[in-house]
Parts: sequence; C-alpha cells; structure tokens
Amino acid sequence: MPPTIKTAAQANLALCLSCQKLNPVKWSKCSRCGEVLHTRKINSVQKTLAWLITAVIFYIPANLYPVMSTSTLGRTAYNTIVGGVVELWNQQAYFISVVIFFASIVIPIGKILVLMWLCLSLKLRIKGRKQERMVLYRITLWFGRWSMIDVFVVAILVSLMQLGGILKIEPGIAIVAFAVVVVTTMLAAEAFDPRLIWDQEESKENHANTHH
Amino acid sequence: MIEHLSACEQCDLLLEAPILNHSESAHCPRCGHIICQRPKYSLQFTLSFSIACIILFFVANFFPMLSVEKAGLYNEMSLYQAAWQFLELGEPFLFFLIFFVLLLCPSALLLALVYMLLPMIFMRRVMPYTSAIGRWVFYIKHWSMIDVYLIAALASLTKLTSVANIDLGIGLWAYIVFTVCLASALANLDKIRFWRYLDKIKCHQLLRQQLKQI
Ligand SMILES: [Zn+2]
Ligand SMILES: [Zn+2]
Repeated sequence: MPPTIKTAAQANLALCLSCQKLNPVKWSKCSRCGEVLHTRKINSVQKTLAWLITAVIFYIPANLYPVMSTSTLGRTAYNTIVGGVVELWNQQAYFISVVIFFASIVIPIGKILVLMWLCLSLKLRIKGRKQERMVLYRITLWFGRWSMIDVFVVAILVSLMQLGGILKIEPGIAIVAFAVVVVTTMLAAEAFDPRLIWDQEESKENHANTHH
Repeated sequence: MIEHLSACEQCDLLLEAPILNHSESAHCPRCGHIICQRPKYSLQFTLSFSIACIILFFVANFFPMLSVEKAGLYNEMSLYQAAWQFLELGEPFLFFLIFFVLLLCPSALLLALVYMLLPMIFMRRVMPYTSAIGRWVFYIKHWSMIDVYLIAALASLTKLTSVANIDLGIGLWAYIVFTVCLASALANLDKIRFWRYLDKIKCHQLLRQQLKQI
C-alpha cells in the first residue's frame, strides 16, 4: 500500500456503515448485507442544517407555550418548561428539577450549537482541533436521546394523574413542539458525517506534498 | 487483500481488521473511535437476555407500574398506557412517538434478535431475510429508549410521592429488570462480531449443502 493512501476513500474503497465491510467504490450495494454504499453520507451538511433549523423553529413554541396543565378542584394552572423547572426547585424537588433542566434546556441547546459549529467548521474549512470536534460530536450523539426524559415525565404524569375533579393533568401544545425538537436534533446528529472533519486534513497534506 | 482490511467508521482511516481476545477492544489510532469490541460473553449471552426481556416486557405491560390514590380516587398505569393516554387525549403525534420508542422499537429489536440468533446458534442455520433484518437492527438500536424512560419514571417518582399516595407495582420491578437485561443484551452485540459470525454460519450452511450433494 503506498504511504500516501491513508483512508478507505483514497484507496477507492467504501465502508458499509451497516456491517463495516469494505467494498470497491464502484459497487452500488454492499456485497455482504446489501446496504446502499456511499464513501460519505450524501449531502450530510445540508441535511444536518435542515434538521437543525427545524429544531430551532420548534424550540421557540416549546418554550413559550405550556407543556401541561394541572387542574385541581376546578382551578387550572399552566406550566411552561422554564416555569416548571423553577417551580420544582422552589418546592425543593431538586432532583427532578435538575434532571428536567438538563433534558429540556442544556442538552437541546448544547446539541444545536455543537452541530451548527461542526457544520460551520466544515464550511470554513477549519483544519485544527479535530480531536476536540470528535469529542463534541460523540457527546451529542450519545446524549441526544436523553432529552426525551422531558416528554416521558409528561407522559407519566398525564397517564397517572387522572383523578376526576381532584387532580387532572393534561398535555399542552409545547410538549408536542419539544418532542419534535428531540426527534429533529437526533436526526441531525445522525445525518452528520464525522469523516468530513478528517477529510480536511487530507486535502491539506496533499497540498503540502505537491509543494515539496 | 480487501478481506484483511477495515476502516474506521468515524474518520475513514484504513486499518488492518482487528482480531481480538475476550474483553478486548480496538480503538482507532487517529480519532479514538472504538472500532470493535469483544465482550467477555458470546452472542449466546445476547440471545438468553433477549428471551428474558420478552417475558419481562409482557409483565411490564400487563401489570400496573405505578398506582395513585388521593381522597378515595384511584388510578393505575402500566407501560403501554404512557403512550395510550395520549391517543385518548387527542395527541396522535405524541402517541406515535412514545409507542415507537417504548413499545415498537424494543419489541421489534428483541423479536428480530431471537429470530436471527436462535437458529444461528443452535441449528447453524441462517433464516431468510437475516441480512436485511440485521442491517435494520443496528439502525433502530438507539431509538429504543427503555433506559431513558426508567430515569424519567424514577425522577417523577421523587416528586409525585409528595403530591399523592403512590404505590409501586409489579410492573415497575419487572420494568427495572427489563432495562438491565436489555442493556446487557445490547452491550454484547457488537456490529463487526455479529456480521463475522453470520459469515461463519453461512459458510457452515454452504458446506453442509455441498456434503449432502456428494
Ligand atoms: Zn454491508
Ligand atoms: Zn477513526
């Protein structure tokens, strides 16, 4: 193997993302599992950005409208995400307050910012800090699903707290919007192809080689 | 030659395909991604945990997980009701989402694993559509949110107990064991190992057919 070839793509091979088998680039389907082959995910950056923009749009109503309404003895109270976190904290329910704070504020915002930065760094052809960008990417990939905690807490409250006139909890429009945010940010992370980060270096090295 | 090579999923670095001993894992020298893991136990471990999971899944769905009692009024919920209640309250999107991540994904995943692994391990046979199902199992793996729901249930419990009388049902205990079993089953399921094992069984099957013809 010539030393200039470092990646599968340079060796004219495509890795099957579903079974990890290397196939020649000219094959359209994986010889082992039948998956459609691409050297890089198609339109990865555009797809990631499209999902992220959808997530940002839905995150606004998710914060403005109530996630649920609590009716006790004819009185109805509405809770937004932030309002709920503050109220739970004031009621000394610290554990659930912190869990919801992370699931519904820290994780989604962090995820959107990180993925936007990763897409931007590819557009700007930034070559440094690859290791750090990979760590950020892996964190978003791993933490993404934990945002669903918020939706699940509402689901549990809604299905358990149906006590006629005494206590009744109903879902609000914001929890639907928030669920869309969770799904779209997960799809955004899946659409992103981390190999593009490393491709930047290859072009730089090739460039350096030609100059020598 | 191509058979001895592999590439990193996250940075596309060309590598020698790793051959591992028990409890070893191979990391990519360039980006640090875990290329392949060989856990202590074999795929039989995944199969036995999957079967245990299917039984526990039924218990969690048919027995109440939590029940609430306040001022003489009583209500209880089991696993599927977390999704079902949304349909009754006219939220089809939330119903579908929760149904998908809590009920459809995990049960499809478990049935698929048993369908593929049972004949492979005990009869050295590959069932029809195994490649297609196998491909799809690794895609939906992280859309099953069993562990996330457990944390959500425990977090809400800390609050609910101060509002009303909450009782923990058999369903909840079954669900906790279910979460642990599912995590163990999936932890032992490495992508590369699964597909290599499938190749091996396919070879066995082919050899057997050729022997029969002689
Ligand atoms: Zn394949
Ligand atoms: Zn790598």
